[in-house]
Amino acid sequence: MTALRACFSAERIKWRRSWLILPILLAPLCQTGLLFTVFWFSEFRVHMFRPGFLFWLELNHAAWNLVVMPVAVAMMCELSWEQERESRAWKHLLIQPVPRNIHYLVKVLSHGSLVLLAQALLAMLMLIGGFLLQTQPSLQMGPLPLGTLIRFSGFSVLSSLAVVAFHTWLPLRASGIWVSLAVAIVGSWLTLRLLGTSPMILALPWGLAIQMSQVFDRWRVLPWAYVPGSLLAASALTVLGTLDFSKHHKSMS
Amino acid sequence: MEFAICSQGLTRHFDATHAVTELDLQIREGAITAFLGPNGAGKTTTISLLLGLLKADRGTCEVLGHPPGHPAALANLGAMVESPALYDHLTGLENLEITRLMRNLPPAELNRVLKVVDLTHEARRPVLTYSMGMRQRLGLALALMGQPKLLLLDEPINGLDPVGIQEMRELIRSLSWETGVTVFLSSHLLAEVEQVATDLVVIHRGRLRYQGPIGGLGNPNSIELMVRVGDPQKALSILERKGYATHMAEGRILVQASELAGPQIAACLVNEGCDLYELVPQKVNLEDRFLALLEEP
Repeated sequence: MTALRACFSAERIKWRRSWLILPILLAPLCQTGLLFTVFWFSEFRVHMFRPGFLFWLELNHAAWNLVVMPVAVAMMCELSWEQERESRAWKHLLIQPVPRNIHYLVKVLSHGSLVLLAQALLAMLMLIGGFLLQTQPSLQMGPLPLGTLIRFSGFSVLSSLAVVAFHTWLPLRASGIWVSLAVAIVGSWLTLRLLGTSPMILALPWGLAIQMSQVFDRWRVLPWAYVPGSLLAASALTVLGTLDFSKHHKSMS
Repeated sequence: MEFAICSQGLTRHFDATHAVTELDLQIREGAITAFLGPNGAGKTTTISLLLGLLKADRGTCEVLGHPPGHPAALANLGAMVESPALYDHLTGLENLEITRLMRNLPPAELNRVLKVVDLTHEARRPVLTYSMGMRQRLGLALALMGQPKLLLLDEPINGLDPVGIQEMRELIRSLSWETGVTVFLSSHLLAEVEQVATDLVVIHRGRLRYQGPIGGLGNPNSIELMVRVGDPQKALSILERKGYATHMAEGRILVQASELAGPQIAACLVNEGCDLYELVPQKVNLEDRFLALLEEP
């Protein structure tokens, strides 16, 4: 545990002035900025989706879970591994008196923390954006549904864990930003197409995140029953990634 | 005698390439050992095996009394493999801080290593702005974190200008004197390391060619006779039969004998039917001896 904490502290130093912070900051900013602009100039059209504030939260969370989060996670994970490759750091890191699996677990923890940071920023921007939209009487935004915001944000955090676990492992086997982005977009789209066909889609990294597409059917509640299955998939991906990392670095030439 | 590194029959192949074959190493504690060999001789593979970065196909190895890669061994060694592993977007201090945290060392260790490598004033600059010499020194500082008992340096002089080479040599020498650390440094040029090393290990095509004190390769003040003949193989067998220590270098035979033995050697070769073109006494050149070792089958 001490080694994990020490290595995580060391990992956090690598975030400073690093490119990998960029998708984490830009993803929630760009998404809320774009949707805010659409809402602001939509005038009365938003009435179709009354109450407005709830629709604002639903749309943001759906866009986040279906597209923006998978893409941001893919970019951030790839940049994080690329940072190690570019610095030729692995040989130095692996000769530190730290168990090898700790190096991989620290990467998972680091990526998870950064996504959490992005989700916190998204929640904050949604609040600010929502309050600003309330100043437009024609939009009839209504009151802030705080409970919904908390539930949606909690669900988004949980749904991102399997995506983080998968994209932390992927660059070990297939490096390149375009590979990661293509896998994220195709994976998310394919999972959306398979939605409702089989409960097995929860075994896919995007399985839980894609459930957020159903929030527009307001009579449905968030499928919390699927969360344990997705967390199990995230844990399995982390264990497999750890084993693969140790094997990969033992056989490197 | 205590050995910091001890290996027996260490072997590692990559498919058809025999990177390291049956390597028996015995590296004395406290010595500065130069690990010499041309490019592709198997130096980096050997260092990777010693660090546990690679797994040996066969053979045994102990580093500071533990198997390679054992946490107890890693805690007491510092290494720089191929080139310094530095995060360019971070400052020198931040790079050191990463290793300090991973090794669970006190913050004072940062100033100590910066002082040793003389980078205290540049520590807060991004590594991106460092010269090659400064990068190598920062790489050495990373290896020195935690006052290791063994330093494994893979070509630390690579890419340095003459002033940088001199500084690095001085640094390695002073480290050994002041802290008693065992240094194992690889290079492909004898001239780069002969001024700093006490011991020498020569490797070629993955096989050990020489191991021992650097003086054992040849006394720099001794004389040997260079013989040029029509049939070197025939002459070599004649001289060996007569009990002379000989070796071949670039088609010439070098005989370890004094100037006084010249007429005897000439007579013996001519009498046995060899065409003798040249017999010249010359000072022993370590570089020649090193090259000769590489030419041996």
